[in-house]
Amino acid sequence: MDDNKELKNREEIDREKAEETSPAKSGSGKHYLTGKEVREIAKANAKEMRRFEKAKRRRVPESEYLTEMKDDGNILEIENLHSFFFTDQGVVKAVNGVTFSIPLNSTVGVVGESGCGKSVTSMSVMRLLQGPTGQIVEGSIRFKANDFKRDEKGNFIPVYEKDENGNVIQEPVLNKDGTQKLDKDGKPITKPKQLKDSSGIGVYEKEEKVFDIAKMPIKDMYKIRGRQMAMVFQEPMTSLNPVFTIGNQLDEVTLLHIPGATRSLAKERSIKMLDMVGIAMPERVYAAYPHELSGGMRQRVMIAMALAGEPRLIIADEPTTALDVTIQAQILELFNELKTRINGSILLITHDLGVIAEMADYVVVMYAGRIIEQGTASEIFHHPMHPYTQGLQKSKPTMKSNEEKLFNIPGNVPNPINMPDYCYFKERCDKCIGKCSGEYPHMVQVSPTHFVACHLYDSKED
Amino acid sequence: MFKYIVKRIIISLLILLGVSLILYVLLRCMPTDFIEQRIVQLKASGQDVSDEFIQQMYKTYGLDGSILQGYFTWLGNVFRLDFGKSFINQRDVLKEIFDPDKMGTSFFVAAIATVFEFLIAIPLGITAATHQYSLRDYVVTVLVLIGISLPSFFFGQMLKDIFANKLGWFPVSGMKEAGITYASAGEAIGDYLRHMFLPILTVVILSIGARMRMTRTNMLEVLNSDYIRTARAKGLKESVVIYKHAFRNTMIPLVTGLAGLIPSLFSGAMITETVFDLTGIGSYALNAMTQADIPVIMTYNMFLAFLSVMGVLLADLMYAVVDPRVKLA
Repeated sequence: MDDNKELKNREEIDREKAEETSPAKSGSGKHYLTGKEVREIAKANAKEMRRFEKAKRRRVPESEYLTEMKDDGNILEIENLHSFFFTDQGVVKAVNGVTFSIPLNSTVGVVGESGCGKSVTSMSVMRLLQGPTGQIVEGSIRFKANDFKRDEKGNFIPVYEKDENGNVIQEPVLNKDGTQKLDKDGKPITKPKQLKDSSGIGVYEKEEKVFDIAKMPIKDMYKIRGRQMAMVFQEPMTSLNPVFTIGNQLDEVTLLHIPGATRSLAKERSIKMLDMVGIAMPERVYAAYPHELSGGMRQRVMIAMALAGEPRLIIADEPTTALDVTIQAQILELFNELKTRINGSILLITHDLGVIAEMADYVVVMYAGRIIEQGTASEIFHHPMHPYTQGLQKSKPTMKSNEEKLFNIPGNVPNPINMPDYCYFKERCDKCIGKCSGEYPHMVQVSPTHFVACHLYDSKED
Repeated sequence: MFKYIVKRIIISLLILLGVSLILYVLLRCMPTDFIEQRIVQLKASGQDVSDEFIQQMYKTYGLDGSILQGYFTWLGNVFRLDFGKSFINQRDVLKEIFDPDKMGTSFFVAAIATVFEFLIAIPLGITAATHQYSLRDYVVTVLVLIGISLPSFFFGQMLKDIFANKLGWFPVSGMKEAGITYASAGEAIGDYLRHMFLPILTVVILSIGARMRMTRTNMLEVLNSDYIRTARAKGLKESVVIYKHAFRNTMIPLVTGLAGLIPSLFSGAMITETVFDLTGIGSYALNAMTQADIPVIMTYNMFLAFLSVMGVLLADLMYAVVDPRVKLA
């Protein structure tokens, strides 16, 4: 699970420690934890973790997490999100006050180096942080869901077919052998005819609701995951269950999220999904086990799985990292097609600036658990403002450059357990000014859509 | 598949031959043998034993030649399906070992204990894993660790003292009430079960620990894997995630472990049987061992070796059944 992330963080801590112990930098006091300190941390963590785990399990009425969007054009609004890992070395602030939103029908890219909190942000949105260590501590994640409407009994409300006069069309009720069912007087029994969509699935009434995902108990997340938002993970090789066939794993989504779905319908739909993501011979892949497929095929299966619930938001967590470049291009093209098909949005997480340039409408740049710059793709690529974003741009290998060595940003990310109270990038920045030793820079708006958190752009009066 | 099984069976036969040779050599190398013990007994009872008589004895029991000679004689007899007669009471070895009173008792205890072991240990392991680092996990872990650490002679004796001597709920030892004729079959079975309860309880409690730890470790490993995260991301309920997606993967090592248990079903629990005075195969084999009853020990151990080899083969076949990634060739 998120151990990955945690591990990365741990690695960073280790790296940091190694650096501190190196003779050149030593002298800054002790750089280890005594047994007593570790026990104290563990005790404090256990208390916190228990509190959050309890909150995840308790039952609350829907009204407690129903909310309103700030901007109705958005499908997801993340506000002041804090996701921490309570490790024995201390609290790792993996996501530390992240705010951004995803407008409907757009692709938002999140970039940043490994361990900057990109994946943890996406996991927080799905509420997939591995407890008890990983917890959303603060903030809200507002998501506009298009959920089935329910009557008083909690059943779905079917939509009936109507003729041109607006009357509900009645259809005869049939016996099992196909003959018409008659009532006592010998009159045929009829029932209102339910509207069916193109693939023969009954239509039910839907309504838009805004949920605050950060406050939802995990039980209520079941109706959001897979149906409202789906996720494509970065590890196609290990993300499919090795002991079930592809078909079995795909069918599950349909059976779970499409009301009234039968096994045969699920199979039909799964094969259609496989076909849609460009798999040749979908019937054969349907019956295959994951280990019989290549990495690219598996990633396509993962995408098909994400599509099967007809989600409004697809979160793609480094979907092409494990794939070679040709497959990567195909998968990205697939994502571009998808956006129009699902009439929803994509949250694309990657460390590959090339991918972002090709795909994203808006870009969010993260560094050490915080957003340091955000704007439209063209703003970020043509006018990067933050020294870190500029550094990222420079460190991208290009065909044209003649320089022998690729640019790299000097230094390392600060220790995520002991974050400084000044700008996290100060130690690595070549454009520091006096103010940089002061408090952490606020977001500065430089254009209607472009924001940057850097003292270089603070307005003159403050 | 068929070819694979035939190949494995042929290999198994070779292994069994090797096992029999080593066993026989070890038995003959024991510092004492059956004849020597018998002579000591005779001498102790004041009888005069001549050297000729001793030679005669060695000859009668087939222990006069070299070790290899003895081995091949034994092997030749086995190929003629003659497993020999017990040195101690001159009865046919096969009849002695596969006596329903001996093998039957041990098998009954072991089979019931194994069923309960799995029924208790697997759910415990799963709850401990799904509630890792919680109070429940710690309580379960500590209890089963106590179970692992208790020696069977002590724990068996303790149960006996509490439930049989002090509380009197169960009979102290033996297989049935002495000198009682049963009115009905139901009564007989009831009495048998009452006698078997404490031995089975001892075996179950002592064996749960290892199985539970194994389940917990496997489950934790599986629960941390990427495909479980995928299953959760689909919107599956936690119970489906655990009992469908995680459990099938946790089962892989458990099922193969089950095949490995086959020999232990028939080997008998030597110490527990001795503590509770059961005439199981375990205590019988222990007795045969101390008296150097070569035909009995050879047959008993070869039977267990055969079961072990078959168990391993079965485990491999089971692997292919439960894990689609495994292909036998």
